[in-house]
Amino acid sequence: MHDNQLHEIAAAEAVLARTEQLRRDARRDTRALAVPLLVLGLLTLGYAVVSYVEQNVIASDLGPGQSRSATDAELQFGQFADTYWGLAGAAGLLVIGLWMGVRSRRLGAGAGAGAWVAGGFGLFLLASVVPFSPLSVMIGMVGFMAPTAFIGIALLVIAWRRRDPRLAVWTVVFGLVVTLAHLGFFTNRLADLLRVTGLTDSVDVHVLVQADLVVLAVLGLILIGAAVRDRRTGAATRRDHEPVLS
Amino acid sequence: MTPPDASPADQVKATDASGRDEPHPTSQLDDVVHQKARLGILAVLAEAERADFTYLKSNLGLTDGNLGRHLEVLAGSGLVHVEKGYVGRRPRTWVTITRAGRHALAGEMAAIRELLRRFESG
Repeated sequence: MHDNQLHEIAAAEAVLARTEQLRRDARRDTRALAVPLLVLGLLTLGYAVVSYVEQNVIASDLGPGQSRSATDAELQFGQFADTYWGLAGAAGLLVIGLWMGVRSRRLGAGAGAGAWVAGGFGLFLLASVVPFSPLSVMIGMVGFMAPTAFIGIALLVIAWRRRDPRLAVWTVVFGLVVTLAHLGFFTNRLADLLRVTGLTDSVDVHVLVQADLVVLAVLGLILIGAAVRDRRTGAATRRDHEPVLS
Repeated sequence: MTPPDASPADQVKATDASGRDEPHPTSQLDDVVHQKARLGILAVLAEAERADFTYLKSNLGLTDGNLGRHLEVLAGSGLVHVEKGYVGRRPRTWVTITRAGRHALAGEMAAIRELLRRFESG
């Protein structure tokens, strides 16, 4: 190989390496995952609490032969629980958008709040306006089976627009686990496990049915933990940051 | 990086394993994008989508004048969009990458990788 060719190879490799480094730096600066994960984690913990109240307080077992009517407050709480991911989810996306907008303005880089705010308003419209539209039955069915379907779609669209695969992966994990918990998947699998191991009688059924709520709470804590970790990693790499072109 | 030391015809065409003529990767390099600082500007904007003059200047280690000239070249070719505004009384210039800019960056990176692949395969 000629000296000239060796020089060309070295130059081409240097250009590639420098460009990739610049991309990594810009990605690290502008795609902080900490706040989206923190907000999703808090919302998931909130959903665990809402589900607990709905399951153990409002719809709790009464004594033999006893019955009662739901109070207005309980009915309102039930409605809130049904639209939790539409209303609280929309508020969460708007909070993320607000934070992203302030951050990109301060930093001088980043796409800003646009996609988050659009996603938040879209969710809010779905939760508040669509129930009165001809699509209400279909959307209601989807929301009943998979309450995080719409916030999940909004997050996946945002991840795609921002070319953020990590956000997409976390969204899929979040959407899948919350939906499975909503459908009672974890309680049923725990019951299967206890049956196989012959321990069914040793666990109180009232404890057993909390498995889905425990999974929701654990998911919320994992999301918050991932947010803290992402923030620490971002802060550490920012300290080492130096300009790479002169 | 300069084009390989070969005749112009060799630079533009090369023969692949099946005997077909295919364009030499250096013919895919775009002078507007290939310049080191301009390639850096596009690389940063491809990830950040939008950045202001100060961020680009500090991340790329360029002077005001240098960055301004490179942005003029990129904007003139339709690869970035420059928007001047104010925050309070202070002027602030935001730069956004265009679709053509993303294509140009991707094409440039592909051409460089192809060039490397050819060198390495002899």
